[in-house]
Amino acid sequence: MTNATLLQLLRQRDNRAYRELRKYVPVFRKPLRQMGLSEEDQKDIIQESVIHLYEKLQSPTFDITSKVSTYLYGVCKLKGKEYLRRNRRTEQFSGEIDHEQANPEETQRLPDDEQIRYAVRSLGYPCRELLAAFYFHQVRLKDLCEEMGYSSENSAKQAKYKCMQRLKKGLQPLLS
Amino acid sequence: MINDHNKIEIIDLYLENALPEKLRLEVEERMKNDYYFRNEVELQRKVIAMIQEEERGEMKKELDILFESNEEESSHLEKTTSMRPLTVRYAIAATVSILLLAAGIFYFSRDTTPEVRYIAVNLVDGARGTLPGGVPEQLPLIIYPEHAEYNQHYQLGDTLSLYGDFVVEELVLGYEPNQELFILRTQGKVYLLNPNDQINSLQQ
Repeated sequence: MTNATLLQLLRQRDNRAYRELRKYVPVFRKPLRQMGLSEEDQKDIIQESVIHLYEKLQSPTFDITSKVSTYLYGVCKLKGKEYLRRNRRTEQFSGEIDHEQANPEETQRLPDDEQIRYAVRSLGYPCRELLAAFYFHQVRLKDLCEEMGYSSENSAKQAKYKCMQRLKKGLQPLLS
Repeated sequence: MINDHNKIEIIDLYLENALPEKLRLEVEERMKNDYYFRNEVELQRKVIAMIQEEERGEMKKELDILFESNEEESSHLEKTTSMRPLTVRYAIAATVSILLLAAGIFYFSRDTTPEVRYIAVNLVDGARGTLPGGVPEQLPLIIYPEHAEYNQHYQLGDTLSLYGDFVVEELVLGYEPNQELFILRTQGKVYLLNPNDQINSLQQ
């Protein structure tokens, strides 16, 4: 499979791309193993690296000149180092939060992550798909019309607005 | 002018750092003075981050396919790659022999699908460490027997890719510290490889 085909399939989340990348997993694992990361962490970092490339590929300005496997190998190594740094910081951190420095008025008003996660998961079709397409997969409004059957870009934009409004409204009672 | 109808979109653009200067200043001014607006921006940021996190989670499930049939192969490769440091020439030679034997067992299928194997790096004068980070004891090796664009080419970085009809059993890789080049020997020919991670044609 050529590099260009692999990139195209990856951009479309096509399983054939994943099967192609499977061949390189042992190569991606090697530096992570040398860093002393567990099998599970290696897996997590490899998955994160592929997602990172996927996200990059959604941007029309992103240009990849190296081979996909070389690029991913580099990203895996960077993410592995980042993971180790983060873990070292967590270990060094004494665990005591300086409550006095935080402004209670600003920190207590927003819902926490679990409440937001619950609200997102409760959205249902088509709102969740629409917001995910827009905010994660970076699908343009024009393409959203085709994919989700909106009659015009304006309708897709309106639908997105309503979904986000609904989500935020659902979280309003949790604002203290 | 920010109003209830355009607020969500303006906050989106603000969070993407895509607002025109004038509107960005307006948003920041309002955030400074309007506590509720500031909270709304923060809430939208958190909501978007959560949508992205949830989708990443979904995609990770899709990516489990990467590991489905690789677990066994990976542990097998780990066994073949976790070797002791090489200190003397005959140890290197022995390692090369073992690797070539292992490679024989794994015999490279010569179809168009490249596979990843490893190749030992044989030190020409036993010196190590003239490359930044040191010369690796072995490198992942990928052979592309029928690549659409390249033939008799190589790419050498963290991985050695060879484009052409190569047979792994016939490959011996060495490193020449004086020239800071790798040397590939195969079928009686000697090629000099530059570790610049670019695709180059093989030069004798």
